[in-house]
Amino acid sequence: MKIKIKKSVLSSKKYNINIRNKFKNKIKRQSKKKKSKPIYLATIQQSSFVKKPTKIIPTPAKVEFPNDINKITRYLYDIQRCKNHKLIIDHRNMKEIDNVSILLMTAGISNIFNDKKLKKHKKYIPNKHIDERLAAIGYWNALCVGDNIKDNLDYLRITSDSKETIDNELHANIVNFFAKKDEIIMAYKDELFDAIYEAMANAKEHAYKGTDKKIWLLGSYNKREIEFVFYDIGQGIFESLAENTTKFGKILRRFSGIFGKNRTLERLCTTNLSKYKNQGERGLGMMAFKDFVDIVEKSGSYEALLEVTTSNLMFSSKNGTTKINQSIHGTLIRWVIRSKT
Amino acid sequence: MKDKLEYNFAQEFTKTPGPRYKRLGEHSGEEFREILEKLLQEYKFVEIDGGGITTSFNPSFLSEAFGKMAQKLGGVDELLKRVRLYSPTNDKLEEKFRRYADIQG
Repeated sequence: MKIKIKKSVLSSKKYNINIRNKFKNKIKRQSKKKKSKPIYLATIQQSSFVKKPTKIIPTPAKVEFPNDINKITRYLYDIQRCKNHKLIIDHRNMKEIDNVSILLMTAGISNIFNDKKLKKHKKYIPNKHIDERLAAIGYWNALCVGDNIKDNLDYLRITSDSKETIDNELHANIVNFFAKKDEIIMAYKDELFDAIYEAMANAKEHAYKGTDKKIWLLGSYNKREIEFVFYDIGQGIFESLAENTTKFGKILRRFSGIFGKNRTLERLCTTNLSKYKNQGERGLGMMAFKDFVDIVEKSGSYEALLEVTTSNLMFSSKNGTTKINQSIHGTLIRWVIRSKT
Repeated sequence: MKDKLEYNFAQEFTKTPGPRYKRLGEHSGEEFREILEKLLQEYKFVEIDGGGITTSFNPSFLSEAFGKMAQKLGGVDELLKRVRLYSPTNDKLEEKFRRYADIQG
């Protein structure tokens, strides 16, 4: 006679499968219910624990400063708007971008997230050439966790600093690096040091109200052209002048009221302003920007260009002051030296 | 008062001259002016060797240190009688020093 032993209901395979199926069906029913959610006239305040939808923001395909400044501004605005969502910045679209635009984007995104690091996702990176430049320029390093600057590239250097006081050596590595490569930089190294240092000093003294005073510096080189870019994301030259309560500030505000901001920016970049200041020896800073360009031009075999961009105005040592499509945050100063041959 | 002091800037002060004021950073023009003032109380002539610098003597530093010192001494000519800044490796430094010491508004 056979004796059948009845297994426990709980341990039987059949019972486990049933439970699993019931659970699956319940989830299906719930998800169907969610889809057919009624539309309310007024939005309901959601709990902060509710998962927010993922936003994907594509980078612009072709960006060149200053013509495409509105694309950069729009892109940064979109990121700012979605910064509290789960955010994906999709770089796959990126095809052409100049160094200044990369620097503006890096500084802008870093500022939006208060220097908090993001996670780099391989799926959303651009093509290899641009990815390499972004890495070299410090874009990934500034924005993402665990991505170090690849300083083995011999054409690009970038650095940044957010201390309250000036780091006297911040510009030394970049300038010395390019001075070794090019005789013109070597010959006028002193003037270049002065120009960049005065830009840093102006930014630390005037551009920021708080203690976080981030400045960026970039140098790039190809056989015919050397470029140095300084950028601070502070309040800009005109806002800083508006707050200046000294005699000098008043004179410049009056000048701006009569002749306009265009002429004021030009005057700031081309004139020794020390005679307008109470403390006579001040007002030399912005002159140093142009001194470097003037002295290189005198050499004869090189052409040099200075561009100072603040608000929606750009002063160029070649074309004077022009309006750009959209305002930038802070002040951007760019020196370019090109061989004539 | 002693006759002359040869002062090596890079060794005694810094290789990277700083901003105008102390509040803006280390090794400022203001800080150096205070040192120079003490030296001028002790010596008739101070000759500063500005060689060995890894950056530059920037305009803010020079005008704060030497421009203001010139004002205190009664003019740039008085300053030049008592102070010299030169570099064995940079011919342009002495001219630059004179230029910024002379800017007094």
